[in-house]
Amino acid sequence: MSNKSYLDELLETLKPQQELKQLLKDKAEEINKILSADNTMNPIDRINYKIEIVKTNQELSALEKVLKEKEDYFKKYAIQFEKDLKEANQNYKQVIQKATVKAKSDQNIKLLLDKVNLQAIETSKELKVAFYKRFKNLV
Amino acid sequence: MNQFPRVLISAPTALAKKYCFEEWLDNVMQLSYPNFNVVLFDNTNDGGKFTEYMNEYHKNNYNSEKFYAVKSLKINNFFSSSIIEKMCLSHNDCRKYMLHNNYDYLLHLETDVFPEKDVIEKLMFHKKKVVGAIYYRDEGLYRKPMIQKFIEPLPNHIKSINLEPNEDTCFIDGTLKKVSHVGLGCVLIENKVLKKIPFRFEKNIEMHPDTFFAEDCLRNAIPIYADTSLICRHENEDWGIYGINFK
Repeated sequence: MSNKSYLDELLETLKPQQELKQLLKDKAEEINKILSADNTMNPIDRINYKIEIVKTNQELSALEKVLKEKEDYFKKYAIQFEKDLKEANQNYKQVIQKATVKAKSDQNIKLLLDKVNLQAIETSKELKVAFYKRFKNLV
Repeated sequence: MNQFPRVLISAPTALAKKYCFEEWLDNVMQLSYPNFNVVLFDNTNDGGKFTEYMNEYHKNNYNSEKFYAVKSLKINNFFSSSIIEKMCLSHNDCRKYMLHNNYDYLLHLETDVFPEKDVIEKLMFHKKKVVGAIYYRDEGLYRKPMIQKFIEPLPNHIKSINLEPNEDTCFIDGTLKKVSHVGLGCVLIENKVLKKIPFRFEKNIEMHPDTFFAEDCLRNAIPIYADTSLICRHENEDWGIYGINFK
């Protein structure tokens, strides 16, 4: 088991986007350097470079919005998830036992129990939390 | 007379979305577009309490002509045990209201989606029949943009797949993109499209009205676009189980 917090795990998924953000910034900076270093540049080339800066900034702006949306969401989501995971780890077996007993008389629980692979659920904390919450509501 | 096209902002809602209703309405009321109204269709089975709550909040804080909430099930005198059927009914309430009152566009805006202030102008600027903003769906590591891309258009069906969680890195680049499905979270739909295409579902098929809508657009040769410069905040929460946690 990893020692990383769930939030760290989530934030790690943003690495490719953070890398792209930096690359886009670098690209705009390099183009600006070229533009200011070369006064003899053909006007069409100069315009093309400037267009490239506009397009890069547009891409950067969209990427920054995505990063903000995801970071804000992850921070909020991780707090609740850690609470749910703690509760699931404490009560999961008990809830599944109750569900197994209740499944004999409750068709909804039986259907759900038949559909899920309880062993597979144990291997993923996201699945464990999701199904724990679902069963907890049913029993 | 207002020269701007008339826009109806509308969506189904329910008690399950109460946790963010006030913030949602505050966000919608500060949209910069000068000619819109907001009508929500509440499909909560609670005798109209949530509808009253929404109208009361609006009255106390804005008291404008712009907003009202309506009891969706009361209008249709209908009860269903299927959430998909209920959703479809309310989507069609939005559609019927829009057509009946001659709005030029419907901004179908789900009640947990928070767009930017100038979302209507930006979407309208593209002059497309169906154009949506981006929002993210699902939770935790599975969170991904509500976008489906084409694999292959077949005669009666769209062969398309969801974007994977990290596929957005290069996809979302601030440009307008043709997609197969953009959801109904924040999408501007032209009046003519809704005259032709109602929202629908099919019994025993686990497919939501938004997916049928995308398919029907394709069948009618209406392309769907996503403006990847517009990223909405999506305050989605696990609804729980239909019939148990909400009815």
